[in-house]
Amino acid sequence: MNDDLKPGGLRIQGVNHSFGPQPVLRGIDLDVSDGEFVTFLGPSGCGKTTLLRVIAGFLEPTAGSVQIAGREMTNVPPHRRPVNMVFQRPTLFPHLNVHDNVAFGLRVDGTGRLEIDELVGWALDLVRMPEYEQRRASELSGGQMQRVALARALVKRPRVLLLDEPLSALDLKIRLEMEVELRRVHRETGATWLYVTHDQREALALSDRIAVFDRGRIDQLDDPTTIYRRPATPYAAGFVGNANVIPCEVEGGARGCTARIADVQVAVDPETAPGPAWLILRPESLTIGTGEPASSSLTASIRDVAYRGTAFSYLLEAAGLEQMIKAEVADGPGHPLEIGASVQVSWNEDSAILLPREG
Amino acid sequence: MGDLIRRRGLASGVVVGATLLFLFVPLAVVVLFSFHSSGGLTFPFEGFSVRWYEEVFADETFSEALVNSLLLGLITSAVTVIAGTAAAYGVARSDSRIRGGLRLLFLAPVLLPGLLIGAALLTFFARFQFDRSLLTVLIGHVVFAFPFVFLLVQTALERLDLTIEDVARDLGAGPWMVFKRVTLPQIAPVLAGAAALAFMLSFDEFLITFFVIGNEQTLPVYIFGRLGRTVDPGINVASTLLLAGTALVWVVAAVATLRAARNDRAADRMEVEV
Repeated sequence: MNDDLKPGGLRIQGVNHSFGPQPVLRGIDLDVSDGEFVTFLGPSGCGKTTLLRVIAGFLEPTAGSVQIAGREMTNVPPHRRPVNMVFQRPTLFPHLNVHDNVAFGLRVDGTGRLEIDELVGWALDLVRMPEYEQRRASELSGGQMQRVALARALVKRPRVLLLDEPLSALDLKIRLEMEVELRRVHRETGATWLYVTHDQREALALSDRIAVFDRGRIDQLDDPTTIYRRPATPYAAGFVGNANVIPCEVEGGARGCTARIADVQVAVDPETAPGPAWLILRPESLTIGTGEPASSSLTASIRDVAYRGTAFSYLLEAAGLEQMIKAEVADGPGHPLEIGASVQVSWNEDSAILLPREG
Repeated sequence: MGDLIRRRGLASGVVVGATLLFLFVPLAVVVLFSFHSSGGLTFPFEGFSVRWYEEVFADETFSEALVNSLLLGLITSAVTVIAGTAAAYGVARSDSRIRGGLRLLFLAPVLLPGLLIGAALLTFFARFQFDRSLLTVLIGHVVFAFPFVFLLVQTALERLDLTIEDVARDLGAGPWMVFKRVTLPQIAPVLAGAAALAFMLSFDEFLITFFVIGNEQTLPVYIFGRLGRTVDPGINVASTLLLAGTALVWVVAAVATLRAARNDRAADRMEVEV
C-alpha cells in the first residue's frame, strides 16, 4: 500500500495561500508518512502556522490540495477532518473542569458515557495528569493546562496530530520536561505529528524530519542530522544551529581546490566546483590556537569572549572579513584567551560546507 | 497633607451621603405611607396598618394590571434575549463590511426618546389599522428593551477568546454545537443579567405603554390612572409593589453580573499564567 494512503499519511501538493495581496505560502509540496514526526521550522511570518491551519481546515488554500489518508480535504470543514490540533496558548474551556475539557471531543461525537470515562482516564494517564480530573481550568499552571490540551486532542485518537508551537508559552524548564514527554507520547500513540516551532533546538530534539521554512517556501526538508551537518542553503545553515556564513571564491589549481577568503587561500574539498561560494563553518568545529597558519585557517584577533559553562564563545575579527567569526571552544587548559590576542582560527576540511553563491 | 486628604474625604462623604439621602428618602416615605393606618399622605404618621394593601388587592383592575405587567415583563425578556443574542452573535462573528452599520442600527432605539417611540408606534399601528392591545404594548416594550440586551450580549461576545471556538471546531463540534456547548455557557451569566434588565425595563415602562395600550392596564398605567382619581395610600401600595418587583429582579441581575465578573477574572488568570 502506498504510504500516503495509510491512516496517518499526508500529501500536500502545490499549496498556495495569501492574506490579501501578501503571499504567505508559495507552492508547498510535502509528503508525510504514517507515524512520522515532522517539524515545520522557521521564523515568525514564514508561513509554518498558516500551513498547519490549512491542514486543520481553518484556512482554505488559494491553490493546491491537501490529502489525508488519500482523501481530498478541500471544502471539508475543520470538524469533519481526521486531525486534531494543540494550540499555541493553552486554551481550555473556562466553564468546564479538566475531565469535561478532555471529554469534549468525545461528547460532541456522541460517545457513550463509559467509553468516555475510560478514554479520558487513558488520555490523562498519557500526559501524567490523572489526579487533576476534577480541577477547574483556572486552577492549573501553564504547563499543566498544555498537558490537558494535549490530552484533549489525543483522546480522539487522531492519526494526524497538529501542534502549533505548543511549548512556546512555557518557561524553559517546563519546556525541556515537556519535550521529553512529547517524544514519549509520540512513540506511545504511533500517530503522525506535525509540529510547528521557531525553536531550532526543539526541532532538532524532537523530529524525524524538519522542514525549514523561508518566506512561504520549504527551504530544506531532511532529517535533523542531515540538516545540521549538510545544510542545503546558507539560510538553513543559519537557522538550524549557529553558523558562520563566509563569502569566498573557489579556485581550481595544481594542488587541488582552494577557496580565497579576502586575501587568504584555504584548502577545500577537491571536488568543489570553481566560482563564487559560501563557506559555512559551525562555531563548534573551529579551534583557536597561537601556532603557525595551517592549510585551512585564518588569522584573527579576539574581540570578545563569553563563558557558557561547558565552552567559551569567542568573537573574532579576521583581516578583510566584514563579519565577525563566532567560535565555540570547549573549556580546557589555555582558555580563555585574552581579548586582543592574535590567533589562528582553524578547522578540519571535512567540517567545512561549501554552497554555490550567486555572482 | 494628611489633613487635606481627611478634609477631602469628609467633603466627598457629605456629597455621597446627601445624594443617597435624596435618592432613597422619598422611596422610604412612599413605602412607609403604604402602611399608614389613616388616609393621610403627610406627616404626622398615625400608625401601621395593612388596610390599603387589602384595599388594593381587592381591586380587580389592580390584579389585572399586575398580572399584565408580569406577563409583559416575562415575554419581553424572553423575546429580547433570544432576538438580541441572535443579532449580537451575527454582528460579533461577522466579518462583513456592513457589520458596523448593523451594530449602530440595532443600537439606535436607545437614542430615541420614549415619547418618540410611543408616538411613532401609535401612528404606525393606526396607519395599518392594528388595534391597540397588550400585543401592541409588547411590541413597544420589545423595541424599547432590545438595544440594551443587544449591547450587553454583544460586549460579552466580543470579549470571548475566539481560539476557544476554533478548539471546539477542531474537536469535532459543528457550528451549532460550538454555540451551544462553548459560546452559550460562557455568556450564560450575561444572558441572565440581560433577561433581568429587559424584565425591569418592561415592568416599569410607562411612556410608550401609555401611547399604545388599549383598554387593559399595566401596573404603571394603573398607578397613573389612580393618581387622577384619588390621592390615598393605595397609590403608595401599588408603587411599593412596583418597587419591590424591580428591586428583586435587580438583585438577580447583580448576582448574575458578579458571577460573570468572577468567570472573567478566572479567564484573565489563565492569560496571565501563560
